[in-house]
Amino acid sequence: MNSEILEKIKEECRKLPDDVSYIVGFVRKQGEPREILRVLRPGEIDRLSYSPLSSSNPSRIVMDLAKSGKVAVIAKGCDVRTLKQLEKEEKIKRERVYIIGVSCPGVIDYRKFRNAVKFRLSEIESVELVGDDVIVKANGNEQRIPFNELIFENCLYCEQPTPKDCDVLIGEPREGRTDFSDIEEFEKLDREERWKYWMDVFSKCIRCHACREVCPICYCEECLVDPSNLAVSPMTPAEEKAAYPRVLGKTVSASDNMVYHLMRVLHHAGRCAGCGECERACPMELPLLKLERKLKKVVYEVFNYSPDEEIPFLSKLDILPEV
Amino acid sequence: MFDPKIITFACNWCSYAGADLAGTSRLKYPDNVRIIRVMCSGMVNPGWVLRAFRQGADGVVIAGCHPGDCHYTVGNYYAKKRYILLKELMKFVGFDDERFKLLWASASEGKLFAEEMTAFTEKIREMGPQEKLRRKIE
Amino acid sequence: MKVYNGNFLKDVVAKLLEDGYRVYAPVREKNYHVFKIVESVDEVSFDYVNTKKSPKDVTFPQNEVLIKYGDWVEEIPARVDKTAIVGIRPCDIQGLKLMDSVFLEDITDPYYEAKRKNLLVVGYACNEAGDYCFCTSVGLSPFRSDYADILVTDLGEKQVVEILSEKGKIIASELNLSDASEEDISRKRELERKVLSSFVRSVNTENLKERMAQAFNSDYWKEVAMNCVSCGACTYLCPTCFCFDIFDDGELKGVRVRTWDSCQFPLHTLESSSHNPRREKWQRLRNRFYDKFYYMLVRKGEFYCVGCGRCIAACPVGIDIADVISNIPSEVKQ
Repeated sequence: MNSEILEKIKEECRKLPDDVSYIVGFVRKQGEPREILRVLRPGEIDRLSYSPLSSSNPSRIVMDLAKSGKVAVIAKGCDVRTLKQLEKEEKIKRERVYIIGVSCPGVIDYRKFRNAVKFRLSEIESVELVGDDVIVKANGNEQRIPFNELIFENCLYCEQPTPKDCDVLIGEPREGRTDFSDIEEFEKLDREERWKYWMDVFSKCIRCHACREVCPICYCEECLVDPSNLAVSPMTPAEEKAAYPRVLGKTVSASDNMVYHLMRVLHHAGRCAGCGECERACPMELPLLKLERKLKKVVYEVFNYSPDEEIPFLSKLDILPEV
Repeated sequence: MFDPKIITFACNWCSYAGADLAGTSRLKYPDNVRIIRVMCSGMVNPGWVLRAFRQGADGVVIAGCHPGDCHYTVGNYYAKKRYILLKELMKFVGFDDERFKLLWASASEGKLFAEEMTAFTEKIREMGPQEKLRRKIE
Repeated sequence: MKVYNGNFLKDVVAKLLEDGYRVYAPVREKNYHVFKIVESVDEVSFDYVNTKKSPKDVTFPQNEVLIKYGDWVEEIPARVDKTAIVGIRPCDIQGLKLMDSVFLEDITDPYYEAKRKNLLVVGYACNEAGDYCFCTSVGLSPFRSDYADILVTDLGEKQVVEILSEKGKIIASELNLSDASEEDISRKRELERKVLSSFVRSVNTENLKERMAQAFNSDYWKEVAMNCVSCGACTYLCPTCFCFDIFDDGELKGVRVRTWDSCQFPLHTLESSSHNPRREKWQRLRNRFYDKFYYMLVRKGEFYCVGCGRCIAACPVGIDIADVISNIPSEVKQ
């Protein structure tokens, strides 16, 4: 099935408007079945690839690239949601992006895939989604694995599998759903159990900041928690540099890591599209989406805000509940 | 007896003036409360609240003008929004969210300010020192 | 060469704990293994290819308090407990040796020295090559190690134990070892042959010094760095990366801490004059590859990479050090 999708993507890319200078799409990595994002020119369409492992969110690259020219992007439902959010925040102009939307059944979790597949990663030739099964081909052999054993868990709660605003759409439209049952399940635990769970999670964090760097909406250059780009000049006096507000240093301990993650997630209230890049990028496999989804639940239920609204969440002030 | 440390971010126009009035009216409230004057309660970044807990505060209060009375029209609405988000997140991760409070106090409510601070300090005193987010590497 | 009937690694952990050592051993955490201080043998698990994080925090911890300050300044001496690490792979042992050449050769770091001097290293040879491993390309072997005190090879119901130092002899004498038979030795050799043929990844290190020397100003690095997000995951998991930052935590009262830093972070080379020699992403990325495959090669004659492949597995955008080094252009137009 992904070979059909790939053919349609390539077909659409051949029909791009003339002013498109770049295409952001997936290219198969050498030596393993991972799909990585690449910026291609309209003449390099044959390098494109697509498979159920094409999980990365291209919005971050599109945001930077759209400043220099018109960009065509191959985007799934969550990716387009992020693009719309960035457009709301005036980081992307909609006319600079040509969206080739792909209706997404969910992506494969690469960690589950590596555990389930019996071939060596370098032998795998193709990974296809056919019906409800994933078919892995290697060296003339085949392995069938049910898709629901490999699907990325976040995709089970997907709200928008089909992009809502795109220039062309590939694939049949699918229904999303709003479901916070996993969060509600977790909230049934009592306070000490919840604290123990999160302390256990954050004791593994190594503060590499991969989650922040891959996130498309974490685009601030001066992050309060650990500035990644301090705006200093030769004129900046020493007192100002020394007194730069820092919430945390680089000390790594479970409670400090918790402060880092809480700070980061709070700035995503009403903005996170649930694409899952943070959880996929984390080298220590932390369940970061749980925090993001809890905040999303608060935004939906307590504030009654929906991300389809034109105005950003943090600007909307007429919706304060009595709490 | 345990002496809690309470950090209060008080907005310049209403609640700080209220605290001032409590002082000039000789209304006593515990000196465990350390007031930091900010221009508006909407200026308070949730990072400062978490930082206060990290540095060893046992309780944090954000005090601002009543809704509709903000000197900057809508600053206190932002404060309330951030307060709700942070409190819900604290509840979710299992932190004692009762240590975090939002108070509306106007410039004429000196008595209210003193009473609320006294009650909050006593509550925190009963709860004991805050160990969960305090920095561990020292 | 000796053999042990049973699981030598588990039993040596028990023996070391009895003798009062602080023991680091691999522990299973949900989906992966990490090295942790263990209190009992039940926590350890040796069925892994390699741990997620490298064991470099045994000698180079992520946070290290140097001084405490407040009303007065108190210097915190470096800890000198006897420590052992059991189940470390030959690539990571080489990592320890490479870190020694940084922290103990030209200058002596007292904190590192205190931890390294008292460290007993019980290595564990690999029974299979991982999907990302390429230690053979950098001159190492998954079956040999010159820097372990003891090296263990797993043959199933028994384990071959090679004692490589005096420290190793002392601890090994507390356990019941017998001499290896001809059959054991040939089984081990057969296993080694099987493991060496199971590598799927390699790095082309032919003429590496020359290729890298003339590729420094090439646009190749800009292309490689296009996807990089400067996150630092590669450096934090690497067994040889040693960049650190020292800062004070706390205004009037606090601690001075040394923590891990990453050359990939944009502020790593920011000078107090506000000049930043590696402001661009591709400059930082290029620096990492040169650190691993050129600078140390020129200065001390060995690769600064051990081929564990953790950076390849962890990179969120798929940058692959083996491919990058192999594809360095040999003819570069300046």
